[in-house]
Amino acid sequence: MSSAVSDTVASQHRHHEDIPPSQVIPHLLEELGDHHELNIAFTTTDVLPIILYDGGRWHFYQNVHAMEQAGEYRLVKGHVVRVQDGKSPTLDLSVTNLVVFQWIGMLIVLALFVLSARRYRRDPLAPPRGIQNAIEALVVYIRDEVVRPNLRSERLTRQFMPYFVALFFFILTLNLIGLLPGMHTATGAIGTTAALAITAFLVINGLAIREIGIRGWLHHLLGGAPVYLAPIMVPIEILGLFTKPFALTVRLFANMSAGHIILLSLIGLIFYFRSIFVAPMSVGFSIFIYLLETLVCFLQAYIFTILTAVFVGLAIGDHAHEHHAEQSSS
Amino acid sequence: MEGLLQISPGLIIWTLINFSLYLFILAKFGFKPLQTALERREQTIADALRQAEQARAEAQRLQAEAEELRKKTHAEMVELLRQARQQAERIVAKAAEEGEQVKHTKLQEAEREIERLIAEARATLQREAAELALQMTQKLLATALDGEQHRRLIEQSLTYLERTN
Repeated sequence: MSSAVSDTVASQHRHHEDIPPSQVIPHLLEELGDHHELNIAFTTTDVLPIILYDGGRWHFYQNVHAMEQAGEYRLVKGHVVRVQDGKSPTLDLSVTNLVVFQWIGMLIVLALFVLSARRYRRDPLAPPRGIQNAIEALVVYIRDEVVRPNLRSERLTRQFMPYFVALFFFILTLNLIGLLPGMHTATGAIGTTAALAITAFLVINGLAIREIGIRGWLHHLLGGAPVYLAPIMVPIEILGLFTKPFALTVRLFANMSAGHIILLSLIGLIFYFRSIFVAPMSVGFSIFIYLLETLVCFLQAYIFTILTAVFVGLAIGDHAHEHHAEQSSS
Repeated sequence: MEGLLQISPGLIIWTLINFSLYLFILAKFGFKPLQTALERREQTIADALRQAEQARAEAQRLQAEAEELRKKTHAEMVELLRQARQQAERIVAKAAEEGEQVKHTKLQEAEREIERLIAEARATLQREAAELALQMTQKLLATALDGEQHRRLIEQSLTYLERTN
């Protein structure tokens, strides 16, 4: 096992050295994506299990090395392909590098919350301290400034606060982890952001259907226009249902990748000009971009959360109000 | 670029699994105590504020009451003082008047007494003078004049004396 790991690490190193100068940037961009090897703190280790669904059955391998030993599949340019015909398997459900980074992020957030939860259980009326205070400030901000004004109902706010809080802290933590040297940005991959947008899509439409009924939801597809405009409005609104999560997906992914790419370009300038005098400028700008990225980490977590809340508010429309009023008056 | 822009279904599915699991644990073990504590604290603060407001109103009411009481007491005190002063003045005036009256009465009494004494003295003097004159005249004349005549004679001369006096 250990020899297999060191073997792969060695091959990885060889792999790095083999890259021609013109391919450095494309290769580094490739590195921003997902991998089958665990890529953490500047080390690459081949410990992640490969899970494939192909040809109507499941394939499990301990790691990439074990998979290649078995001879049925091999890794080409970071992708698992069949040895037979060089095509991808039906579904590659392997635990990848970014999945591990998501776990790290999850564990950090859960640890912080569970630790502060202990304090809340001990004395709910005590003033919050330390990290508990920071979490509480953010949670209260999300509740009072993001969720409540958009959902416009105390019941829905109470019910959906866990989702929005989870969403915000998940994105924020993954963003911030990505800023640490030697770590990867899980939110800088379309897969992650797409999945989060899918949850947003489910919450938006699920909540809308539950609150205003399927008829209300269908009525919303008219976008408030007269019925004879339905042939135009309905396709647009249906498209709108999907553009919202798509925008969420791309916005977060692009923001988290862009900073990294700019940093890469700035540092790349030094090598492009082959001059040490470019370095102060590159480093200066890099620090600026790095700080900007720190801001963007918070900003994008906030934007993803508030936009989801806004979309939920739009999907419910004013019906929630009426519904609520009817309930309270009867 | 391919690595960066690829959409891997595996990562999407894993993220969905991870996020669901994370959401479940967070909502149950992390967020619930926080929410409960927040709501309790907010309730407590709201209650405390309401109580403080009530206490403030109560204190204000009490203060107003005390102020009113103080004013009333003050007015009463002033009134009492005024009455006391008036009474004192009246008593003093009455005492002075009474003193004056007593003095006046005493003086009158004294005057009357003096007059009475003078009259008495005068009467005594007249009687004794008349006696003396009679005895002297009796001795001088040695004649037995009618007592009645003598007396008339003497009284005439006394009246004359008195008139000249």
